[in-house]
Amino acid sequence: MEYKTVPSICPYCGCGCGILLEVVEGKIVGTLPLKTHPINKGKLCIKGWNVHEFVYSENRLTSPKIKKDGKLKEVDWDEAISYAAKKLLEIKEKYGPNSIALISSARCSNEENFLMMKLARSVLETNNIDHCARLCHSSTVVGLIKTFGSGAMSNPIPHLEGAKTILIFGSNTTEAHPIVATYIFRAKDKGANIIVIDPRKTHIARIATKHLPIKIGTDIVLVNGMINEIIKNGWEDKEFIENFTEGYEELKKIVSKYDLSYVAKVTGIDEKEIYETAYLYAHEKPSSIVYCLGITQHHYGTDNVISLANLSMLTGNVGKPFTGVNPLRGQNNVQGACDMGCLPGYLSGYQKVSDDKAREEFEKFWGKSLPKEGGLTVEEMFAEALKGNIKAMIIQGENPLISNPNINRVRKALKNLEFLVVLDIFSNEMTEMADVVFACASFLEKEGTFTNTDRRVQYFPKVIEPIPNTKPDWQVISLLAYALGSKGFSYNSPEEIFNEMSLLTPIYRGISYERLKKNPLQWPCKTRLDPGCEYLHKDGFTQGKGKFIPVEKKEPFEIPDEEFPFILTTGRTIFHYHTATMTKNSPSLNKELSSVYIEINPEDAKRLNVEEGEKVKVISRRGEIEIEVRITDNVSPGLVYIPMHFSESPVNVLTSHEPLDPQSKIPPYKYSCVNIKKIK
Amino acid sequence: MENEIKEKIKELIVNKEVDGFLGLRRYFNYVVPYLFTKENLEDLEEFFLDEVKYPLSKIILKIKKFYPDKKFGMLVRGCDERHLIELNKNNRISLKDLYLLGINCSENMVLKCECSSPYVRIANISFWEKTRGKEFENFYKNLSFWIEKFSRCIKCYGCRNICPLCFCNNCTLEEEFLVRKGLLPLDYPIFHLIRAYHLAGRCIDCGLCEETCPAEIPLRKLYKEINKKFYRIFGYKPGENIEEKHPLEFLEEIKEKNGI
Amino acid sequence: MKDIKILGFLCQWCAYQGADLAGTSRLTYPPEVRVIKVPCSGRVSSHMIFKAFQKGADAVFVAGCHPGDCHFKSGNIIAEKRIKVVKSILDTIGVEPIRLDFFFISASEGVRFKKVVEEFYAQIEKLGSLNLKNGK
Repeated sequence: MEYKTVPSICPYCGCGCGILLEVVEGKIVGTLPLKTHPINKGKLCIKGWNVHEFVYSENRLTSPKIKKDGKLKEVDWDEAISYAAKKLLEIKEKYGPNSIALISSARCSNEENFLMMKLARSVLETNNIDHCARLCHSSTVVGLIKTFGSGAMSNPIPHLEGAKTILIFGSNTTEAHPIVATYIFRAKDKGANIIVIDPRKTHIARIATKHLPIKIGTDIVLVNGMINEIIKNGWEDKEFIENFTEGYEELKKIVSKYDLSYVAKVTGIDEKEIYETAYLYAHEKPSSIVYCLGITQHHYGTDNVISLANLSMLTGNVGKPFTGVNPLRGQNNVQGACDMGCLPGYLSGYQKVSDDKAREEFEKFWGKSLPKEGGLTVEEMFAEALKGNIKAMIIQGENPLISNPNINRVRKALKNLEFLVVLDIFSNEMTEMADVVFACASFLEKEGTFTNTDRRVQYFPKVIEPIPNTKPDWQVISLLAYALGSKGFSYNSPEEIFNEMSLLTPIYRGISYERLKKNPLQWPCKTRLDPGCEYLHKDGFTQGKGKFIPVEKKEPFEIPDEEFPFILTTGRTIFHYHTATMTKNSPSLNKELSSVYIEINPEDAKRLNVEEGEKVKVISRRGEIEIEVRITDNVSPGLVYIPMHFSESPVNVLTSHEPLDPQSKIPPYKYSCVNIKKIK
Repeated sequence: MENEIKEKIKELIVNKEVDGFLGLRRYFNYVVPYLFTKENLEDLEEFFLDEVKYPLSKIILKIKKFYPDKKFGMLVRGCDERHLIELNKNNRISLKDLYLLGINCSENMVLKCECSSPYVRIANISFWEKTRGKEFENFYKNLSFWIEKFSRCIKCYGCRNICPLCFCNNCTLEEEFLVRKGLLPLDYPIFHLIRAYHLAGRCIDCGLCEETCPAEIPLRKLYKEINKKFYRIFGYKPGENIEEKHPLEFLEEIKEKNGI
Repeated sequence: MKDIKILGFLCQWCAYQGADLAGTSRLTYPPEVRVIKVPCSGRVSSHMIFKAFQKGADAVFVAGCHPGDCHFKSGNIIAEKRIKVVKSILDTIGVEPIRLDFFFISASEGVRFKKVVEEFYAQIEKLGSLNLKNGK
């Protein structure tokens, strides 16, 4: 007889909430919230309450597969591993190491991401490793490194409760990060100003004390306008600017032309509102900025992030408690995947591959020389695959056939590969395309660590044994590396991997499983006695002084015209997680929402003569889909919205893969031009 | 005090008075529910009483579903006891088959959790001294207060999932006709009014719902106010004793008893 | 005020017959009052009443047989108790409890039906519309 509850970390978003899995005789039967967890304190969203549902789904992969004669056949592990290794070596020999590209999973543990990075660099000898942060917060990493020196959330989530003014840019916080929204609600109950800047009337916009329904993509203009007002009226924090920043004069010059009437015209927001928002942010301190993909997912996303950093430095609202520039990371371990160096230009801990000193540490430890030049980012990988330069890819826990922009092009790119290896826990569109499929164990079936959006490294234990015939990713990668000829992957446990990683990664050096089992730790944590870093940039920035980098208004890459008169933007709902690989296989979540819809404003619906629930065709320059109509005032006339979730009506058929942001290489998900036609 | 409790639990298991005991134990830096049995007696070392409330009555119902023929003991506070009394009334569990090890709440606990009777009354044995409960001040708020709060709801179903008295197989909150699905903001206030009605005359004021609500809706205070009015109308308070039944749910039974 | 909306649930054995009698006797009541026939006043669940308010009703009433006359023995008794509970919930969240009421009306009480409904309407008219979702 057995009943126990095992603490773990929710796999469904970057909040990193504590959950308890109920286990009866080795089987998971339910989920409870973990009441004393520092972030969620016993609260969960609907996904968190139903974590246990996907584990025993009949769609779980239960055997590795190889594509023989165009069909996937179940094989045993030895055959799958040796076949994959053989083909990869062949391709490496024939076309060179840079003909292989890897995409690691932001849902897999830190240990597994570290191993993917090690596999790419020390075994396959390529820097072509990237992951989905490229598609969501690469603008954050690049933008904040340029201005602050560190690309992560500056303050911890609980600090939001103590802010007097919170600006929320492009974040549907309640739906995308429900427990972060809890802190914002508490701040509101204490009298804080909650100002939401979003073209849509989202849930949090309705709760806010002020909603600025900005014209999509014009955030730089608004922020520059606010900066200009603050400087004009002398509200800036002169002491902070003097002591901790450089580049102020240049900024002052550039923003001077963003006067209120110009900004109001471009952004569509009242002059009075802009003035008030600037006043509140500069006066009712401490003030905090929270932002998400509405800022980053444009082809000038990095500049958007930089403008927010400028605003915070101008008013001294960074490097102090309850302030900060706070990007909300999406996946449960996307921060970790970045930290582990699954980036084409960085080793773990944001050490550049071109930094000889840093690279030599790795070369010494691994006993191999590592490639010096930066590799390809995700979209570039697909571009090169189309051109025939990338011949093989290893894709772990990712579904680009739903989550990347311009899906039709992604499919062509993948078809053009000679060899595709996919690691996943469920069969989905990606596993159908693969030449080799590895059936992996879920996070509940192995131990490891995740790093959430506020840099908190958290340990999660093994709750149950892996589903029969599946293996944890770290074992799969190790076996593959061994078959490829490497001797450096003989790990007996994820802890050994973590220890190796922490020796090579200064910001994680003080962290160990022993310490994590006592409490989570926020990096940078450089020594065994370092208690971790609650908030960044205290008394100075990571690079010394923060840099003001002036940015200017950018033009959209396509504008509404007669052929494509509507602007489409995309996002996520609270009921499902991204491509819904896991949540689609959870009955409670499917009961709430099992298909997506297009949100159309009532005026537009009348003009188009469409009704609630009617199926329409949505067309863009990239492709077309059929989807159900939902009439709502969440969107203003001229704007439409489709959640990204299901393969039946995948919105990313319509979005564009270019132009990429020149600095971060992020594609412009949040903006495309579409047309809507009735289906006769 | 904790050692006494550990000893008692060990005694109950070793003497076969119970097959399993539902208590709390340390796991890393957390304290979590756990079933102690004779196979894992050494885990009693990790037994720990923390000022944290878990829905133990709900968990024991789940355990009993897996092991219907076994006898169990469990840790109970005043609120857990009241849960069990109500569950017994609804034939979900039989108090006769449960050994209740009672914990009276400390003063610190009473400060955190505004309970009016933070002590056990019917437990087989009790530990800690009884302290006086807090009397609840009137919590009257106007309509715009409640509507603003209800509109924050994120439809996590946490209030229902954690409440030991929510045990329906088909939950009314999931009726598409009453509350549309897949929408946020959800249909308010009907979602919360339905739940409030289902708890009128049933809620025993444990506070788990309010603690677990991510939207910070003061649910406990809402249900408490409603139950005060319920008492004034019907003279019935839930969780007091097994004999008194809910005046609407058990109308036929009550009428029979009174010879109507 | 023409924008007050009132919904009434009438039991088919007594109250609805009473309303019908009012109709055939050419007795008028305010047109903004709409009625739904139910097999017994006890059939009216709290859910229906909440749904009526959710859909924009400014007031709701339930009408059933006099005590002792219920076709199903005690449906009207439980309905009356239930209405008391729903009223207390409405009161707690700040909705005026008189927006919900229960009346005993027999099949022969056509005149009384008109009087009861007119009085109820007048009370609600004085309060004004409810505007539930905006919380005013």
